[in-house]
Amino acid sequence: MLASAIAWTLLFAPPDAVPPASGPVSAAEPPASADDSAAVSEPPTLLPPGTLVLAPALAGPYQLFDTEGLPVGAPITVGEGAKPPELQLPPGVYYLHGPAAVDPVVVASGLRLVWDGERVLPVEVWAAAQEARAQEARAQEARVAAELERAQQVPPPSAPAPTWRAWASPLASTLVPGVGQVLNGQGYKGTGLLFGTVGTTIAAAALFRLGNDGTRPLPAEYARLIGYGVFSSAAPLLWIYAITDAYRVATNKEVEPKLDHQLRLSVTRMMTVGFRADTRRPGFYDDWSVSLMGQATRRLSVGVSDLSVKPGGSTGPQVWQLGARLDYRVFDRKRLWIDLAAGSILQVAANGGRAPLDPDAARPRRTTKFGAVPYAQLDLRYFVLDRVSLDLTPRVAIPLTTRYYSANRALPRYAAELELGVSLSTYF
Amino acid sequence: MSAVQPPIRPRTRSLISLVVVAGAVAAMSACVFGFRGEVEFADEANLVGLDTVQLQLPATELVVTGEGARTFLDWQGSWVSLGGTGNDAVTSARKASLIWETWGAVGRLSAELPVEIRDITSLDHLDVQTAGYMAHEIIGTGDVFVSGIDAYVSVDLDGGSVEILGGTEQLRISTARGDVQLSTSAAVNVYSGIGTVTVNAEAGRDLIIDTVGTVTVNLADVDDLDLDIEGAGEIVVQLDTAKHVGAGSYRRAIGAATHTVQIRSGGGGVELGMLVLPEP
Repeated sequence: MLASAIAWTLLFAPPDAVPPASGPVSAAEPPASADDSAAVSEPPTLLPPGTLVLAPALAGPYQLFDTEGLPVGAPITVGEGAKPPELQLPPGVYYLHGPAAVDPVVVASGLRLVWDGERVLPVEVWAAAQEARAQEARAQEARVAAELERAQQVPPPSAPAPTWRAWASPLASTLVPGVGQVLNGQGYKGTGLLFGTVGTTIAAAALFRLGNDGTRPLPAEYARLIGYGVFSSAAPLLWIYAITDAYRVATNKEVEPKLDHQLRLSVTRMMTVGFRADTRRPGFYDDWSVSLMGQATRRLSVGVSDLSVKPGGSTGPQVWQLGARLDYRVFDRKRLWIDLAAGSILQVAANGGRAPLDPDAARPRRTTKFGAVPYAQLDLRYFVLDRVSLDLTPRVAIPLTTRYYSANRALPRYAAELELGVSLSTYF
Repeated sequence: MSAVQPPIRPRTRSLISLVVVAGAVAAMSACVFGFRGEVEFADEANLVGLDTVQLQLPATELVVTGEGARTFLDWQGSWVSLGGTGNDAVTSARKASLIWETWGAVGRLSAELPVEIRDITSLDHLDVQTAGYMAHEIIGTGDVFVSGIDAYVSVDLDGGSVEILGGTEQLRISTARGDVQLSTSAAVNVYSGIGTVTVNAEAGRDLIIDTVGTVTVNLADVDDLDLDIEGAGEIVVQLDTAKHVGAGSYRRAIGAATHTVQIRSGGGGVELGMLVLPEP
């Protein structure tokens, strides 16, 4: 600050300027009275005086001293918001005692300078800075006002919806998919869900009823089976989505997946399409099961999985199935989670064997076989509610023994399988 | 839980995209990799002292041929099984077998499949040569073709079509789904869950037909009939002794009406016509 004052002095002072004497000081406004003028002695030089405007940020009494420590003029009180006082002074260096500190100031001959409390600068520069500050303040005020107005226009996000919708909408979508969305005012979404659910259901039923008499070309038969798998899985998923989405919208809640859950209960349908011993009839292999996974750490879950029973009917073996799985969540952002998992299915197959022709002969003893199917899988979980997710699960498995599916279907050992699973999971 | 989450970084976004695409590809390629193995077989059994032959078989394509005075039952066919390797598939197929048993005057040919191969093994086809004078009872699934058996023939299928040529005593056919075609002098009792039925009746015998589908009956003897048609679509009767065109039901007695022709077609069309027998 002192350096800048000296630089200004050197810049504006004439080469033959001399330090000011303990001389007179006059305020430009209001003009000095005639008595005051008489009391002021003449400057030792003929250089015209300079003007110093006192515009410090800090209001209070100020006193100007010359380089010899003598007071120059009377104390000046700078008021907050008042017009800054102007002093007419001989050129030179002065010391200004303020309420907080003592600052050196420079007065240059014939120039109007401003002391803003920190430094001395030309009045035009100071005025421009003042104007810029004022403009910035006005802009800031405008921004705040606009923000305030916007905030008043937008309804609060947690505005309560009518309470009847919280149960009526999901109930309506349970009875007819999509109607809950219509109740919530989402007509297009509701219509899409209605047609989507009904359409996939009809398509699945039609493909199932087509059957296979062994005369259909293999590619067409594979397409039928894949189509049946996709549509028969999509239909319940869409329906469940319609119900949960109707509830979410009706209660006006954001979905926040339950990261710190302790237990996950899943109902899963795994399926694949593949060859059978009958060359003309490929098989659709599916397996409904239940899994119960406990979350051991924030990302790691372990539990029993693939629980199911396959009755087997009159000819097929009866199969009890259970498994163990380790599951690590590699990604959880917003409503999408991605898990990597590995585990093994354990199967126990029992069969009574063929009844003998002789009605008096003893029936063969029941035979029991144990099996294992290790696998790895990817879980893509999409949360439709805080504690409910719909999952898509591609899996690769290599059975170490014959693997039994529902409807008396089976695949041989060592036959690598790519399966697709769809699940409904709830979190506790 | 509700804290503002940092934006997803491009690298993370790429990883997610990769994982999702990989999952989608895996989903689209839900399939199984493995091999089929086939093992052929042939065997025979003595029919002396027997009256009835039962064929209780897994799903297959069955051909049964009767010859008048045979004393042996012969059969040939092949087992097909699945495996993760070619050798494994053949090994599984070798575990399957057909077992011949007798009890009293009844002989039975049935399949023996260990539990580990039961649902991955099929009887690809089976040809049976048997005695035409013996009664035959066939139980299974798949298409059946029978010829040259004069005695009683019963076919009971979970699904599959049936074609029988010959027979003088009685034919009883029941299939959950499939077409039935008979050319016989025997009495006929046919049930099909869905399928067309065609009967060429070479002699005046009782015909009872129950199906959902088109029924065509050609009769050689039309002088002694009790016609009873119900639940039909279009009905066309062009017999030497009766003419009719209509729909729904038709009831008519011709002559002494001792031979019943009862047809239930579940809305399918019914056509009765004359069977022209070749000159002897």
